[in-house]
Amino acid sequence: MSSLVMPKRRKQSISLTALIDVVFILLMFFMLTSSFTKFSAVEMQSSLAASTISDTKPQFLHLSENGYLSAVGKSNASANLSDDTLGNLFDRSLPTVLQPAPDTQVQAIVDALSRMKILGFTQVTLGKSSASRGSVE
Amino acid sequence: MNVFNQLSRPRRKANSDDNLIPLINIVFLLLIFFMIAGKIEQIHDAGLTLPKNSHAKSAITQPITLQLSKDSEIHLNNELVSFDSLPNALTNLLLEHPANVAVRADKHVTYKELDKVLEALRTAGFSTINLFTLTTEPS
Repeated sequence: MSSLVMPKRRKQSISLTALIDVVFILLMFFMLTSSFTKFSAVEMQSSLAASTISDTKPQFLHLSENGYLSAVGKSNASANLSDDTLGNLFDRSLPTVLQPAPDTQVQAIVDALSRMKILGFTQVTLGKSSASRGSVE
Repeated sequence: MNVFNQLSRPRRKANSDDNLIPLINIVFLLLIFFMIAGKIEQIHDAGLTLPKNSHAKSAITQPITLQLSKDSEIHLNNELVSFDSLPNALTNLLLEHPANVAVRADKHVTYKELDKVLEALRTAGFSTINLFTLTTEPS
């Protein structure tokens, strides 16, 4: 009778090697697939939407290749407008069209757009490029 | 000596796995860090260097992504398209998705090139254009 009784199992410790294998594979997966890059976006209305928002005449700003903002059609504006001058010369609630020079790089455009957003310009659109100051297309 | 042996606790039989416990602790911590802090996402950047910005708001993934590289190659939703076929492709996509589009342009692209793409987007009828940037810490 005693031979039929199952032998008492000895308490065996579980090997950790299999666990480590799985954890290492998970670690590799997350290390290779995760990204820590944060993206942001500068939102702008296309001229199509901007024209439907209001019928008021927009104001124009020229952006030069080196990132300088200057007023289009305003005689008392300097070549590189400071934040204060921008606030005094322009109405922040009116639609504003930014006209970059053809060779202006995207980095300068993004800087100008975010600068205008900080200054409180709400309706900024990108217009047709203007080669020189004073030309409005 | 005999007395000392009686007073000391009986020694556990040394196990080879015991040496691995600190390793497992560190690996688990690393795993938890990558699981929580990292974000799994598929990025087809086509060799783009996005412009940097510290003030823009966080980007929301848009259903339509247009990439413009410095060699003027256009990728629409990760598929290479020529400039001539862009209006048709945009019109088809606009029928499926709302009117928001994400533009990922290389920071060295000039406005001359970007304006052509923006013009195509305007013509297709997109009302809001999100120009994607890389977030940097404000100085």
